[in-house]
Amino acid sequence: MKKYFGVALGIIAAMGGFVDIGDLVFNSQVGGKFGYQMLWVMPIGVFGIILFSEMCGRVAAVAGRPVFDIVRDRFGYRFGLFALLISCLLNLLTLAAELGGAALILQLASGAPYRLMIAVAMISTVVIIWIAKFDWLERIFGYLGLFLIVFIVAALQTTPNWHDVARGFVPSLHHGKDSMVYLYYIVGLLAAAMTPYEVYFYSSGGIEERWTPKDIGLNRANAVLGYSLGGVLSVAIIIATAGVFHTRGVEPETIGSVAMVSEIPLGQMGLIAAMIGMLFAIGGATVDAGLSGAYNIGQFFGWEWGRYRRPRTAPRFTVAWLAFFMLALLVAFSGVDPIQLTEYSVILGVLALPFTYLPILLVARDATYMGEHQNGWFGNVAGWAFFALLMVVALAAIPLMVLTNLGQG
Amino acid sequence: MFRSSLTLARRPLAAAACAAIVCVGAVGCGGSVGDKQIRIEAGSVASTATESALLAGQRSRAEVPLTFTRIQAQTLAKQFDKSLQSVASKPAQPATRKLADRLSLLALYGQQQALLLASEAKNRDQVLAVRRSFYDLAGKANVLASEAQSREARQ
Repeated sequence: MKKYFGVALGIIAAMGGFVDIGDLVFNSQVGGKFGYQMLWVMPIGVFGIILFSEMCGRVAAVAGRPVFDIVRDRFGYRFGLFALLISCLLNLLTLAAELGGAALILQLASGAPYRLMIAVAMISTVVIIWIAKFDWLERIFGYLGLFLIVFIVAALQTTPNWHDVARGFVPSLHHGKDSMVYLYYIVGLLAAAMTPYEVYFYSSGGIEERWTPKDIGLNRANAVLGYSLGGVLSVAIIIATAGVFHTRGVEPETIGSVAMVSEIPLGQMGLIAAMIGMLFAIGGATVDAGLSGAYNIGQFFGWEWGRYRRPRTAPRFTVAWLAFFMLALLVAFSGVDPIQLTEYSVILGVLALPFTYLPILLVARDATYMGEHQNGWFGNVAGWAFFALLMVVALAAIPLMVLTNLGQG
Repeated sequence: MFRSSLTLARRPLAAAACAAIVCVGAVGCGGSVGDKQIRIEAGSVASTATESALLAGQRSRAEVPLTFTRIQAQTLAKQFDKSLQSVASKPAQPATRKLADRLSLLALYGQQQALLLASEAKNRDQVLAVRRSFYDLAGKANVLASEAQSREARQ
């Protein structure tokens, strides 16, 4: 009974933790701009994050090795250091964007100045990380992030044409003046679903929770069910935005607009639920992104790392995650628009995807590390096929960002 | 073998990344205004105006709290300002300049109305009046976007 309860908790945490500011921004923009037409991208992105999270969770459980330990092992010190620098930069941008997003929601709720709310968001997140145990970190944000379920209700309330919704799941290209913008948003949706820090955190979380080969089933259930249900939330945001905004010619560009997607069909309770869900989903991502940066550095340089250790026994790791939060605070304080920062971090994050996923794939299929738990034929074929897709997406990301001026046209 | 090929790939990759960042900066910060940009910005003004009208409508029914309305209206005012800044005072062909000037006026009007909504969010009559002007603005911005699109197609 306790085991099933543990599985359920993990699934709920993964589901609530799947959606972050990148998903909120890109899903709502896609729904507003293209209606249901890009729904087909979501299952692909969700399949990718499930595939690689399951692999890195299995590697953590069997070989006891997190992602950046493997990166250094497989790529060597110099190239591994290059990958570490890219990942640190992206984690920093993501963390600053998440802090900014959380601050915007707090500002919408309180009316207090934006910069003050950035400081409040940062300090409260640091305090929660400091005092809460690792599994409670996941649960607090994962459970309260479940308020995002309000978007499923809002999507249903918009009474979508289910035939059109079903047609949206069939891959298609967009013809006409927005065809490049359409491609840009394909990259954005895939990147937002497969943000590298999610995998860093998932893998390190497996070590934090001291997974062993016995936990492979738990890992699989968490990854498959948790991310699938998280994907349902993302799909719901697209459908609700399409129903509320696309039909009226509105292309939402602010966090408040995303909350309005729930308010317009459901009233004030919808607005409040959406804001709570968004705040905690973004808050959870803030924790993940901040700790991931420190995890990566600690794993790469072989430091003592982990939230299960007391700060005194892992001082460099503790200083590292605190430094990440301080740097992100400075970036957010600079006045940069958090929505634009999110778009940059998500699109530039695509460049880190191959560096992140290749070493996981190489180790997960290696019998010397994994023994009988190495990838089966499905894992290998799907892993390489998805890696090829990621390479194409990574090569296309920057040109599309330039050509479409961040998706504007 | 694998490592050395990765090492070789590093420099072009870094150069491409730097070039891309410079290009994005150049596209975002400077240059003259063309019909394409007028179409995009007019579409953006129409979208922001419709969204502002929806916000005003929900506020007039007291569905949206006062604080949320004020902050969101201020954010929408910034969106109008962004459109204004991207076309105002930039060089353009004479015919395009006329469209750009009309768009600047619409964006400026949208910004003022959004700020009015932020300051008068308590006053239901004022909110309803602002809502009407936003719908009117959205219609005008859509017309302008169509004109820019026609000119773009002719070229």
